[in-house]
This record gives sequence, C-alpha cells and structure tokens, in this order.
Amino acid sequence: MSFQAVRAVFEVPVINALKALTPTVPAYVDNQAFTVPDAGEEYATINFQFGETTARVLTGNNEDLRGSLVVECFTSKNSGPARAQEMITPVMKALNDLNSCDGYEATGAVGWVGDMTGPAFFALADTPFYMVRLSVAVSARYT
Amino acid sequence: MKPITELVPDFREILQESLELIAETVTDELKKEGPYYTGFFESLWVVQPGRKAVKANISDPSTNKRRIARPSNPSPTFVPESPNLAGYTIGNRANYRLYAMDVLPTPTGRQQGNAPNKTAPKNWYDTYRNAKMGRTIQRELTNVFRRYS
Repeated sequence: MSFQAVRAVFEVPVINALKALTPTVPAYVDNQAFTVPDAGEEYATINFQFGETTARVLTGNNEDLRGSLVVECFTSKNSGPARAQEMITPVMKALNDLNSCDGYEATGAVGWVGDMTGPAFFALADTPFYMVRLSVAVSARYT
Repeated sequence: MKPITELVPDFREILQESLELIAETVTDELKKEGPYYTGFFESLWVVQPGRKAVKANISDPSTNKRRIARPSNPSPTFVPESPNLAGYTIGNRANYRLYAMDVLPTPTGRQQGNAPNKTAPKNWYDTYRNAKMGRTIQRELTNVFRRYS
C-alpha cells in the first residue's frame, strides 16, 4: 500500500479545482508551512486523515482504507457567502467525479467519496475571514 | 421454533437493544478519541432520545485549567429509553464544542489541532465520524443479532 498515492487521489482534484478558479485560490495540504494571508486574500487548507485501514477477517487482516478529508476555504468577511460558495462548489464536483472513475490511476491508487458533511459556513470571530468547511468520508484501494 | 407472529416483536426488541448499545459505544469512543485536558469536555457528552439537537450551553466554570491524566476508562454514559425505535442523538453540551472538535479555527486552546499540547489529533471528530464510526455501528449490530440467533 502507498498512503502517499492514496492521499494524492483526493488532494490533487481539490487543489486543481481551486487553481482553476478566478482568481486562483492557493491550497495548502498537511505539514506544509504557510503564513496566513492578510485580510482580503483567499486561501484553502486540505487535511487528510486515515481512520481504519484494515478489516479483520477469518484469515487475517484485509486492507480496507478509510479516511476523512476536510477542506476549508477562506475568503473575506462581511462580503456575503457568494464567493465561498463559488470556491466550494467545484471542490465538491471534483470529489464526486472520483466516484465515476473507471480504473486505477498510474500511481496504483483509486478512491471513492462517501457522505459529505457541509458545506458549512462560518464568519470567524478571531480573524477577518469567512470560512466554508466541507468534511468528506473517503475510502480507497491500492494495487 | 417460534411462530412467525412472534418474529416482529422479537425483531423490534433486538433493534431497540442494538440502538442502545450503539449509542453507548459511539459515545464512549467519542470520549476516548476526543480531547481530554481537565476532563470537563469529556464529561459533557450526552445521549438524547429521538432527533433533538443537543444544546451547547454549558461553559467551563474552572479558572485554573490544570491538565490531568486521562483515565483508562471514559466516564459512564447514560442511555435513556427511546420508545418506538425513535433512535438517539449524541452531542456535547460544552459551549466551546466547535473549537474542541476542530470545526472552527482559534488562536488559543487546541488551535484547530495544531497546538503542541493538544490531547487529540487534528480533526479527530471528522476522522471518527467519517472513517471509524461506521464500523463500530456494524460491529455492535452484528453482536446483538448474534446473541439472539
């Protein structure tokens, strides 16, 4: 198994969807240092966590990768929710498209998305940002 | 062998027992997976019958927040009766729960799971709900049905 290839299955479509927006939205993944931009600038964070990765059967443990993907997009506060919705909609479409894939990527990993919780919108108290948050259950296989 | 007319009451009884067990196990797992600093947040997980929102209206009264060790077992979970298979709602009553669950960013406390002294991994709640809870429900349901078979 390759956790890195599995992680890429879910992170790359999100990064590309945000990159295709006008203006482009930079996305930061786990363990990537970045400075929170000033008010008025936009950015997104992607957090991927593995949950249970094997399932016990009579003959041992089978690989059964399950995980959780959390995408948070930040835009300016006090300017309505429209831009936040513009940001999260292509992300949701890109993730849903994973379910229609018809084979393994060159990396050997394939993934599917399950229930999506959100998008949830928050005007943050401590920062000058408006946040939209999407939480997605994911599962994956690796050849 | 029982007649088929007794099958439905039996089935309802099994489902009710399953719901109670699942509610208790999921709540216990949330207590184990979640942050534990003073034990206050852990103590505020509740199970309510039916589909009623759990109000987040309890603030931490302590002023001296000293970290204590997490006990080996979570605090006891009370599961009330839920007649007519109405199910359960599980939630935490702390008024700061969205920060404790890493839903909202904050420069203090857990700092959305980035604080060096955090007591639960980043996005622990999402990870549990998205990638662990399903199997817990499946396992507990199977266990109850096996007992009756």
